[in-house]
This record gives sequence, C-alpha cells and structure tokens, in this order.
Amino acid sequence: MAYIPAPMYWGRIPEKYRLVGYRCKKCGAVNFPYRSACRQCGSKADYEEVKLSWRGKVYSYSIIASGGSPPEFANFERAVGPYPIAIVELDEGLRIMAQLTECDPGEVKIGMEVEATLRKVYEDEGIIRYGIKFKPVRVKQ
Amino acid sequence: MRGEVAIVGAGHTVFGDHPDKTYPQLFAEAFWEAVESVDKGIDPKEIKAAFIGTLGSGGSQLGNLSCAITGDLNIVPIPAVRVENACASSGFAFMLGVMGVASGLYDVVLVGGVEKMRDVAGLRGRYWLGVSGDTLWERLAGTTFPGMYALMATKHMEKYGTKPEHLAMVAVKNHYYGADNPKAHFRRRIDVETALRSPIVAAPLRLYDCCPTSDGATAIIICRSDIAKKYTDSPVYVLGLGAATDYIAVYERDDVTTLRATVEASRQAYKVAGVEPKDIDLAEVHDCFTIAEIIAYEDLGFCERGEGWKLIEERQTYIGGRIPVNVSGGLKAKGHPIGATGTSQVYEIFKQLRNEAKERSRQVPEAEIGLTHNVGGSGGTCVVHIFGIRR
Amino acid sequence: MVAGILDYSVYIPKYRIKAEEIRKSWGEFLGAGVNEKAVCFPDEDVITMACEACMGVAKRGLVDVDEVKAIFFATTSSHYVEKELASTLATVLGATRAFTVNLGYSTKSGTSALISALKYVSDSNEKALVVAADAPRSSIFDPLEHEAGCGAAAFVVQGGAEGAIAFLEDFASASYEALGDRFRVDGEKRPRSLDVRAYNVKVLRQLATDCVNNLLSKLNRNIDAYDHIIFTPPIDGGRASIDVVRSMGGSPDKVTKTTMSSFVGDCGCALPLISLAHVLENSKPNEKILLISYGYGGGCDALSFVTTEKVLRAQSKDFKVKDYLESKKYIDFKTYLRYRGLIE
Repeated sequence: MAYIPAPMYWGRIPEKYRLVGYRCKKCGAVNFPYRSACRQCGSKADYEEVKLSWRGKVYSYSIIASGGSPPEFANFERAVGPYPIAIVELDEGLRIMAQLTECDPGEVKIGMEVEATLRKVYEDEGIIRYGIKFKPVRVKQ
Repeated sequence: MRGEVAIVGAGHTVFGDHPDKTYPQLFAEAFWEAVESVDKGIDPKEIKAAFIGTLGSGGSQLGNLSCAITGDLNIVPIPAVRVENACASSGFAFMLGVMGVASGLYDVVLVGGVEKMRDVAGLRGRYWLGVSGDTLWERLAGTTFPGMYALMATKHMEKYGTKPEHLAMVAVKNHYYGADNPKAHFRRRIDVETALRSPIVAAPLRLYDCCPTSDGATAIIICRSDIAKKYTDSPVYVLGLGAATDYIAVYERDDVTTLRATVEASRQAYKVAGVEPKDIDLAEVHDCFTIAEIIAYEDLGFCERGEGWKLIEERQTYIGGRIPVNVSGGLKAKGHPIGATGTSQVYEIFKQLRNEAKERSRQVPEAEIGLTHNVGGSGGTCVVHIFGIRR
Repeated sequence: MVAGILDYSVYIPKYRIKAEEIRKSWGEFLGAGVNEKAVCFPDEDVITMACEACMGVAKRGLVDVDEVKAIFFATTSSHYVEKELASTLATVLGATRAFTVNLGYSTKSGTSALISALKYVSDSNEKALVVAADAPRSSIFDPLEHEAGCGAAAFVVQGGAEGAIAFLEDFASASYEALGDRFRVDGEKRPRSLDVRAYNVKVLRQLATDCVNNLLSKLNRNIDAYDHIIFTPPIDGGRASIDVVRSMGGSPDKVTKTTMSSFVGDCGCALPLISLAHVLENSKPNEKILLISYGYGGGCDALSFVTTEKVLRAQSKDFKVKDYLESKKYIDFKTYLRYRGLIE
C-alpha cells in the first residue's frame, strides 16, 4: 500500500539520503526535517542546505515488538525480532527520529553514541526506499 | 460563552464489536439512545446542525459521512460535517457544535462520533493506526502509536522516576471501574502482576498499557442554555472549553514528557470556566496508553510536574481520592473507537453530573464540575471541556 | 599515461557466521576454503554496502570524494536489473555531475571497473571513484550459498602518479566463451552451475594462464617478481588458483596470504577489490602487486600495481580494512537463515 507515494518520498531525498538540514537565512537556525516556516523564527521557508553530522546520542528510545510495528516492517521484524527506535540528538543539538539498526534491544541506553548509515527502510511496489538509520558506533576514530 | 450551551441528551453504544453494522447504522444506535434520553422528549427535526467525529478507519465511508448519516436518520437537509482530528475527532466535533450554538446560528445541535476498527483484521487494521502521526519520520522509523508514547514513557521514567508499576496501577484502576460500566469493552478486573507480565508492545509499554481498538458510537444533543428547560430540568452546562495543536511528531517537541497541547487547551478551558484544577470533581482523561494518563495528571494541573506517579500510587485518582479520573474505565477498559471517544467522555460527565451512573460503585458522589480531556494522536491536537450543573 | 590509486576503503558487514556453525547445525558444510563469512543484516544490500565503502573513503579524509568526475559501480546481485544504480551513490556523495557507469553480469566486473576508471582518468588529473559491492546467494542445498559472503570496496583513482599510493603499470585481459561454469538466468535470484569440477578448473586455468602470461610478457617479468599475488575467485576452495600460479612458477603462499574469502566468504565481484585494499594496507613501499580476477562465463583480468612511499600515509589513516574485518559479531545458524531470507 503506497501511503507515501514514491514522488513524495523523492522530494525528501536530501534529508533521507544525505542528512541535509535547512539553515534559515533570517535567523540562522537549522531546521530538520524541512518545514514550511522556520521552527525558530516562523519566517517563510528560505533556507540554505547544510550537511548535518552523521553522529549523535540516543535521547529517548523504545523497543518495538511485533504488535507495535507498522505492516511494511512486518518482514523486517520477522527477520530481526524486536527492534529499537529512538529520538537521536545529533552533535548539532538537533533531534531526529530514526530506527536503530544492528543493535540488540538490551544494548540501548539513553546517551548511547550512534552513527548514521544508509539502509533499506522498506520496499513498496518493487521500489526500495532507502533512508538514514542509526547504529551503535562500530569503528571509532 | 461560559454556560451559554447546555447538554440535554446523550447516547452511547456498547464499545466492542459491531462487525455487521455500517458507519451510519452504528451511529444511529447512539443517536436514538440520545434522543430517548431527553427527559421531556425531543423531535429529531428540532436538530439544526450536526458535527460528527471520525477517522474513517477501514475506508468504507471516507468521504461525505456527514450526509450518509443525516440521510440515514432522515434529518436532511440540516448542515452537517465530518470532523477529524484523529483520536480527538469527536472532542473537536463537540467544540464546533458548541461554537455553532454559541454563535446563535443553531439552537439545537447534534454532536458525536463513530468508528469501526474491528472488522479490518491484523496487518490491514494496523495500517489505519499508523496514519495519524508523522509518516515520513516517525512511521518510517518503524513505529505506530505505542512506540511514540513509549518514547515519552522512557524519558518520563528517566527524568522523574516513574516506574512500570505506576503504569500498571493506572490500568488496574481503569479496569476496576470499567468492570462495572455496561458500555465498556472490557468488563474484567486485573491486578498489577498480570499487567507487568503481559507481552511488550513497545518497551516499556506492555499489552496492558495500551488501549484496545474498538467499534462504537456516541451522540450528544446540545442547545442554547436559555431553551434547555424545554428539554430537561437538569441540563449540564458547558462552562469552559479550550483547544490547541502541537508539533505532530514527538521528536519535534522540546520536552517529550509533557503534552503542550494539553497544557494550553486546559489553560484556556480553566480561564473560560473561571475555575482551577482543584475545583474539578472528576475528569475523563485521554488514557490511550497508561503513561498518557500519568502525563495528563501533570498537564491538567492535578499534581506537580513529575509527580503524576505519586497521584496513582496514593490512589488519589480513585473515588474518594483527590480527583477521580476515568471512572468510566477510560480508553483502556471502556475502549477506544477513535472517532467516538471524545463524546464518550462527555457522555460520562453528563451522566455523572446528573447522578445517573447507575452502577453505584462508579458514581462520584456530589459531582458538580467535570472535565473532559481528548487528545489526537501523540498529542498533536487536544481539546478540553469543563462542565457544571450550574451556569 | 600513468594513473594510480589515491585511497581505498572497504565495508564488511558486522555479522559473521563460522563454517563450523553451519556444519554443526545443517549437518555439513558444502563450501571449501571458507572459515567464516560475512552476512548482511536484513536492511543491507549491495547499494547500502557500496555507500558505506564510499563514506569510508570520505571519513579517512585523504581524498575529497565529492570531487570525483566519474563513478564506476560494479555488482552482480542488485535488486534491480534495470535502474541507474550509481545514481544512489552519486546522490549520497553529492557528486551529481559525475559520469556514471553501472557494471555487472560478471565476477570480474570489479577489476573491469577499476581498469576502466584508471584508463578514464589517465589522460588528465581528474579523479574517479570505483565501487564494487556484492552479496551472492543461493539455496541452502547449494555449495555456493555455503561459501557466499558479502562486502564492498571503494577506490579513488587519479591520472598521473602525483598522489598515488600505488600506480598501475599495465594490465591484460583474456576473454573466451565458457559455458556453464557459473551463470544466473534473468528472473532468478540464484546462480547455477553445471558443477563439473574438472571443467571449471580447466576453463579457469586456460583463461588465467593466457591472461597472466600476456601481462608478464608485456612487462618482461617473471611471476616471482611479485611481492603479492591476489587471485580470486575461490574456485575449489582456492586450490585452482594456487595450481595455476604454481604451474607458472609462482609461489603458492603469496596467494594464500591474500585470500580474503576465508574470512568474508565469496563476495563476487567485490572480492578482488576487497583483497586489493587488504594488500595495500599491509604492503611496503615499492612492492609489486599482481591482481588476477575471473569472471565466470569466461574472462580474466590481470592488473600489475607498484606501491609508492605514499602507501604508508594511507595505512596510517583511521577506518582501516582491519577495523571492518575485526569488528564483528557471530550469529548462529537460525539467525543466519532469518537474515538471509532463506525461509519462505
């Protein structure tokens, strides 16, 4: 069921593939995701794109079991079992919502360091929707 | 507008399974009960407008439900509209009806809500539970509503020390009262141990922390207060109302342990009604998940920020405590047909303020001022009404 | 017309399964030459692995990846059989004006991509990106599934030897029809093989010998002049490659030391490039590397590289091949079946 039509998803690719944020030209605040009016000053959207950091910390989380997952994630849940979702606070202080991948439910803690990765989010009508997920930092600097 | 609008009748189907009814047929059941509940009688033709709340789950009547209903009830050609704000649909329908009456345009108005969720099974049913949040980010992270409220619960527990036991106590209380409510979906009492052993849905929320999906409908008849005597000697007056929106997604909010929409809506309602939280005798709050009730205690001003857990631990929200909450059973035990819940809460307050909760165990003694709190989605919309037996 | 490698990065999925675990749980391990192998998490595929490898190059900081003028992307196990695959990489990297080439159909596509890219940049000092990512799979009854691994490697190449950590001296190819050693039919997810071992080995030997001899004669050199010999694929557990090298007078342990498939499994067209990255990370300046790859059906590429002093700088960067090899988590057989989608 295409509740997000592919063209609509395509419009969000800068955010979904590149973690691009939108810096308001009036007040300098960075918006993510895209909003039609700046979250901070309310001005009509007039932004310059900025690349956000691909690192952050877990701000809050939950572990989704089979009863709580949307139908398009049913196959994924069947393969991996209960999976974590989280509000991630990026290094810039922005908060975004994402699935935590490659992460045991028992591993997740508030404050855990995570890094962004491009993964398959779901498949609909043969089209794979890729998007950013977060995972525990694997290789450190 | 304080006291300018009065409730003179109310109807409520049993919440649960009504698999063979259409949307209009299910609503009709509540409608006729509302009509028959008017003490001195009312002719349906006296109704001048209708506001019906629904999400439209299942999609069988997504468009033009309003006239599907007015036609089925033969009350055409009155103006009618479907109101949608997710789980706050009928709360907002009620608000619009009140505005319709208070504006002077319509003397008598029908408000209510209806939802059929149980005839679309399994995965297809879950689709409808996922359309009222932030689709692009929250849903695509792999969650529906339990997950969103779970994010609030995780943070609330970290920040204020709320424990899983407190969540279970909310469920226990609501099942305790729901067991005596003939309209309730679940009529069984439970204990804390059972709740804590139930399977995880979205950690830390378990099965017993989540309200069910239900079929049901509710209907309320309201009118100008100065003609209420024509219909009943004991109308219930709308003393205050307030409503608000907040960012649709939990992650967009500065503080995920509170619903700003509730704080704002109740602030307005208290102001219009000229009352304070301590003046409220009973409240029907939006406990779609147990954590939502605890957060509501704080947001509605029934206790200090972060001390919601104390209120339930001390049994202050049982009858006999400081502020009885959800003596109908709440969404948890009474059920939650999305579009019908808002006016279900109004129905309960209407009965309670008239001393008509037939089950003695549920009647709040000497209740004079009641509050309803109806929330859409994870807090994106909220509407609060305050009612009283005196203008 | 010189061209060389500026930097490299690999991506090996975190989850691994041991051959022993498969043997224990399934009753037998049908593969050869694989001790353990990498397994994609259910939300990974060749595109996501390719992106990770490219991001790895970016993170290492030796090269500005978004300045590449071309992207050569190779895989034999894409979800799509028609779609611009490299555009996903171009989008993620912000290299939206790059010339993109999608290569596939053959397990030598990785080296073919590398050769093509090196040739593409050799007239200028432009940069090009080469990415190979693969995740072959088959049925659990098939030896290929037991050997199948997954992984990706990315290289940035540039014309001129200016910043090169290794430059290409020369290359050679051999191409001759081979029927049935391994092939995948349109619409099917699993490669097939006629499984005639002697035939597979004979075809490989014929093509590889011709190819390598050609290269050696162009360079007027003996095979034992090489410090490192990479020879994929792991046919017959790698024994076939070793036999070819031995028959040419080369030393078998130069091959066995570079055999990555025993750690990561058969990663299709990415395996030669993953192995090359591994060798570059462990080589000294001024060493000679012979990279031989084989494409079933049949073709062979042989590339001759020489490392420079600059290879030490690349080796010092974070996000090493070693890091991806060693940061791992073992899974059991039932998890393997779930992750691979082998249960319908």
